[in-house]
Amino acid sequence: MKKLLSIGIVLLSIATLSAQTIAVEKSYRLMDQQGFHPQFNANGSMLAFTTESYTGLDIYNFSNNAVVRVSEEPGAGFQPVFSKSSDKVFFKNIIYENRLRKEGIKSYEFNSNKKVTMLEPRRNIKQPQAFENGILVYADARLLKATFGKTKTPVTDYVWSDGSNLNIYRDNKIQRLNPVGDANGYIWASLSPNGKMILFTAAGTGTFVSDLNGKIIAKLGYLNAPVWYNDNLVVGMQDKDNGEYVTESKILMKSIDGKVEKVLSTPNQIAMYPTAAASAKKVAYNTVKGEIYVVELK
Amino acid sequence: MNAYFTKKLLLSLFVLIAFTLPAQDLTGIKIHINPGHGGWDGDDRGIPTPLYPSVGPNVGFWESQSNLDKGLQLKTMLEAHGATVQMSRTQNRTEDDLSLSTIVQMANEFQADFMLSIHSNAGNGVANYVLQLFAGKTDGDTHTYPTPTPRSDESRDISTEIAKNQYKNQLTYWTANYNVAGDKTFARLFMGWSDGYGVMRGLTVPGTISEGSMHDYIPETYRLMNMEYKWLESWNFLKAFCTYFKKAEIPTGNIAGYVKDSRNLILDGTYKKYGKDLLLPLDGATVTILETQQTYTVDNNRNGVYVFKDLQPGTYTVKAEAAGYYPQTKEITVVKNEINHLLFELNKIRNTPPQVISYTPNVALTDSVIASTDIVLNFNWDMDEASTRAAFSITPAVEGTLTFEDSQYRLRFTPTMPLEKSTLYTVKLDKSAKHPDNLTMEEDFVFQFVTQSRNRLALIEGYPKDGSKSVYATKPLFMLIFDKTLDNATARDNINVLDGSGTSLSKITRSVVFNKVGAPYGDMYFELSDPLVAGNEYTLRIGGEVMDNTGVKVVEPIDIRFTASAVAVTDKTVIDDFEVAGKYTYEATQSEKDTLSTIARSTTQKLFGSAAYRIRTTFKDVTASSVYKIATPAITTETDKVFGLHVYGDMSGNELQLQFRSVTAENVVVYLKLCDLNFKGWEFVEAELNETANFQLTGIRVVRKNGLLSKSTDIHIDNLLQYAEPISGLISNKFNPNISIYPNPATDIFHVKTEENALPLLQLYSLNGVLLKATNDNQMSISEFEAGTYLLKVKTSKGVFSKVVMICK
Repeated sequence: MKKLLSIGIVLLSIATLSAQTIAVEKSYRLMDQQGFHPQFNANGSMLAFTTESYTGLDIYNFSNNAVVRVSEEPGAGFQPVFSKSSDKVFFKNIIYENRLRKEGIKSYEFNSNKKVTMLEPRRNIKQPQAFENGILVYADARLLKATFGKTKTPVTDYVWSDGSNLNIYRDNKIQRLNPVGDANGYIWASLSPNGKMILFTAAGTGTFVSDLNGKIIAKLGYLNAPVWYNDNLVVGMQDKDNGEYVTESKILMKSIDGKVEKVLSTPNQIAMYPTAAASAKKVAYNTVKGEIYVVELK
Repeated sequence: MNAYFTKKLLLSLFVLIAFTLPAQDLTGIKIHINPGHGGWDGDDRGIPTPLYPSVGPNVGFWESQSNLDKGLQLKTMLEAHGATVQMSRTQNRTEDDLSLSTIVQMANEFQADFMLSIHSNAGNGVANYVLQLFAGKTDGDTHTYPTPTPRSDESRDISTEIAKNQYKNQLTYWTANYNVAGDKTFARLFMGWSDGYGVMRGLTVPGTISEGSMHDYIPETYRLMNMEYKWLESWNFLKAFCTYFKKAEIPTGNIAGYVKDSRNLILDGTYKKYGKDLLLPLDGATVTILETQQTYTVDNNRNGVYVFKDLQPGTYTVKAEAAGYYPQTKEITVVKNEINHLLFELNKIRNTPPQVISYTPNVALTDSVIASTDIVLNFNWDMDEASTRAAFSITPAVEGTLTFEDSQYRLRFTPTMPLEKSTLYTVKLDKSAKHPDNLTMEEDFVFQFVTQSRNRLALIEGYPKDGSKSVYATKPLFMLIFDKTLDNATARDNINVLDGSGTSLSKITRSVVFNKVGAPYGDMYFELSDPLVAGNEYTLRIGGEVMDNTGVKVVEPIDIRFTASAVAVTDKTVIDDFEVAGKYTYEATQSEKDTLSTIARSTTQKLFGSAAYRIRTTFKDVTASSVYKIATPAITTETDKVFGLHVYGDMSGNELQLQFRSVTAENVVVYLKLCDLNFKGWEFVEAELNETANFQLTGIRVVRKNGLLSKSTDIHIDNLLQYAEPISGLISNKFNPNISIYPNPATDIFHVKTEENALPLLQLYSLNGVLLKATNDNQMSISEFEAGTYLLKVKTSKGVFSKVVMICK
C-alpha cells in the first residue's frame, strides 16, 4: 500500500509540473573567469566548473560570489559530485602509470578546506553517485561504498554508462540494460531525482527516459548532455557540428511527457553542457568560449 | 631432396613453432576507435574516379566507409592481442555520423587509454602525405588560443609512432614527408579555425586524428578501395600501440607490394600521378608464396595491391603472374614487426613483330597538309625507344623532336619550325625498329605528304604600331588583326603587354574578345587592368605559339614597342570643346555614298569636360565620304594655321579631315587631312593648313580608304586646338602627292623629286621629334643611321610636307 501511494504521488507531481509554463526570469553571465562543464549542487547555492578538458575543479559560491580552487589535477572536473548536504565535493584525479590511465576519487570539505583520498587511483572507476555522507562508485567490477563514517543504510540504486553499455546496480545485482537495441553506445546516464527513472543518450539514436528495467518511457529526440531538472523536466543541448568543429548549439528544456519544450540559451550563443538545480529554479551552461551563464526561471 | 624443398620444409617447421608463440599482449588496454564520418552523404567524402565516375552507397570510394574498414580491422587486431576496444560506430549509416560531443563523451566514459579518430585527407588531387594531429599545440607555438590547450604529450608520442609507420608504406607515392602537428596549431595555420578540432575538445583521454593518406589523389583512392591496403594502415596503428604501451614488437611480419606493368602507363583520366603510380597496375594478377602456396589475386580497382599478413619471419619465394606477361619470382626476407615490401613490375609478352597500325598526316598527295603538323606513328606494340628513334627519318630533312607517348605505343615527331610550304615530304621508319622483346619490323614503313602553301599566321593590322609614341596611358586599347581566324586559347596566353622590366601586365578578363572582324580574318582586342605610365616604353608581344584555328602558328615572336602618352594637350587655344550639343550636323548634300551618318554630343567617351562628339557613318561603296558641317563657322586661319584634335580612333583606316572654305570665295573648299584612323582609343593628331589665303573652318569629313575595317567609322573627337607651330615639329599625316621620295625603304640614300627647280630643304627626324640631319639638296645620305622608322620633312615654296620613311640595313 505504501508503494502504491508513493507512485501515485510521483504521477501527481508529474502532472502538475507538465501544466507549468516555463519562463525565464533572467539570464546573466556568472563571472569573467573562463569555465566549462558547470554542475550545480542540489540546492543551487554552489556551482562546480572546470576547464574544457576537465582538468582542475573550481567551486563558485553564490552566497559570497567567491571562487574556490579545489583541484588542478587532470580529470577533476569530470563528473564531480556534491555530497547530499553539500558540505563536500567528490572529484576524480587521473594519473598515468606505464601509460595506462588510472582514476582515483578525492573529497574536499568546504569548511575545513581538507582534502581526503577516498579511493586510490585504479582502472575502470565509473561515475560516483552521492550516498549518505559519501559516494557509491562502481570500480573493479563491484560497487564500492566510500563514506565518512559507517552507515548501515542500504545502498540505493546506482546507474552508470561507460560509453558502450548502460548498467544498473539494484538489489545487489548488476544488470546490463539495452533499452535501444541499435545504439552505438550509451552515455550521459543518470537517475531521476526520485530514483525511479533513468535518463540517457543512445549514441546515434537520441536521448530517452526509461524505467529502471530499461523500458522506454519517453523519447526526447536529439538532446545531448542531458540532466534532470526535476522528475518531469530535463535540460540538454542541441549541438550541431560540421564534423570538424561545433557550429551551433542551444540549451533546451523538455518535459518527458513531450508537452513542454523551451529554449533557455540566448540566440547566437553556442551554448553547451547544461546543469540544473530545480530547488533554486536555476539552469547554467557554458558557451563554446568558456563563458558560464546562469538562467533563473520564474 | 633439392634445396628448394629443404628450405620449404625448414620454413614450415619454423612456421609451426612460431605459431605457438604468444601474440603481443595488450590485455587491459582500452582503445576507443572513432572511424570518422558516417553514411553516404555530402560530408562523407565520396570521391568520383574514372573507374567510378558516379559514387553512391557502396559504389566507389567513400571516406566514411574506408575509415570504418580500417577501424573494424584494427578492432579485430587489437582484440586478438587482448585489448578492449570501443568503436563509435560499426556501421556506415547517416545516423552513425555522431556528433562531436557524443564521440568525446563515449571515449571519456569508456575511460580509454587512447582515442584514435581515423580519417583520410584531401589534397586537391595533387598531394599525398601522412598527417597526424595530436591534441594541443605544436612545439614552439606561442599563440594564445581561446580555450586552454589540453594535454598533448601522450597523443603527440603515439601520433609520431603512427606517422613513422605509415610513412614507410612503399606501395604509395608520398609527395611530402609525414607531418605530426598539434590540432590547434594546424587548424589555425592551415584551416583558418580559431580553436582546433572539435573531436579533441573536451577529451579526458589522449587522442589522435589520423589522416593516413590523401583520398583524392586518385591512385591512392584506388588503393584505399582495397581491403588489405586498409589493413596495412590498421596494422600500422596496432604496431604503434604495441610500441607505445608495451615497448614490444609484433612477432610476425607481412609482405605487401604491387603488381604493375614494367613500362606501360595508366591511360585513363588526366588525374595526377607521380613516380611508380604512373605504371599500369595489373588487375587480376596473382601473387603466390611458393613455400606456403598462399595466393593473392589482385583486385580490379586499378591499384595492383597484394598483401600477405601475419607471416613468420624467414625467407620466402614469391611469384607474380599476369595474363600476357612474363612471370617473375623473387625472394624476400620477412622481418618481424615490419611490413616487408616486394614490388613486381612485369614485362609484357610481345610475340609478333612490331608494325605501324596508323599514322598522321595520312592524306592523298592530291590534297595538302597544314605545315605545322606533327608526324605521328601508332604501333601494335610498345616500342623500344632507341631502335625506333634510329629508324625514323624524314626527307627533306627537318629539325625536330621525337617523343614517345601512350606507353611507347606512339611515336611523335614535332618539327622545331613549321614545315616548308608546298613541299613533298617522305617519312620512313626503317624495319630495324623493334619492340622490347627484340623482334624487328618485317619491312620498312614509308609514306608521303604535301604541305599547304601557308606556314605562318601573319599579323596584318594592329594597334599600337611598332614605334608608336602616343598610346593613351590612362586607358590603352589593343587590337591585332591576323590573316586567319585565331585560336582563342593560344592568343589569350601568348599575347601580352610587357613593361620595361619584362613583367606581363594583366588584362581585364572580360575585355578580351576574339574574332569579331569576321572570317577569314582573326583578331584579338583587349584592355589592361591598370593604366600605363606616360612616357614609359612597353612591348606588345605576340608569342610564337599563337595559332590560327587550323594550327598554323606565328612561329617567330613579334615585338611591338610603343610609348605611353598622356595624349591630352592642354596648353593650346581650344577652339571647340565639344561640350555643347547641336553645333555640328550631318551634311547629306556634301556626303557621298554613305548611310546612317550621325554626329552628336556623347558622354560615352570623353577626354575633357563632360562630353565629346561622336561621329558615325557607314559607307556603301569603296569611294565614299561623309561630311559634318559646323552650324556657325567662326574660326579663321589668318594667323594660326595648325589644328590639333583629340580623336578616339576605331582602326577603320579611313581618313579624317577638316573642311575649310575661303573667306573671300565661299566655293573654294580645301580639306586638311588630320590623320588616318589606324589607331584604337585616344590619340592627339595635328596638321598644318598650308593655304596662304584666309580660310574658315566649316566642317569635318571622313573619307573611306581601303582598310579592312573601312566599311564604317565610329569615332569620338574632343578639344579642337588651333596654334601657330606644330607641337612635335612633325606633320606626318600630310604629304604632297607631287613630291616623291625614293627608294623607301632605303639603305644609304633618299632621293627627293619635287615640281620645283629650287633645291628643297630636307630634314630627317626621329619619331620622337628629334631633328637628326638637314640638307638643302634633292637627296640625303642616311648611311650613318640605324635601321628603323623616321620622318622626312620636305620644305618647298609650296609649304612643308612630311613622310614616314624607313631605313634598312
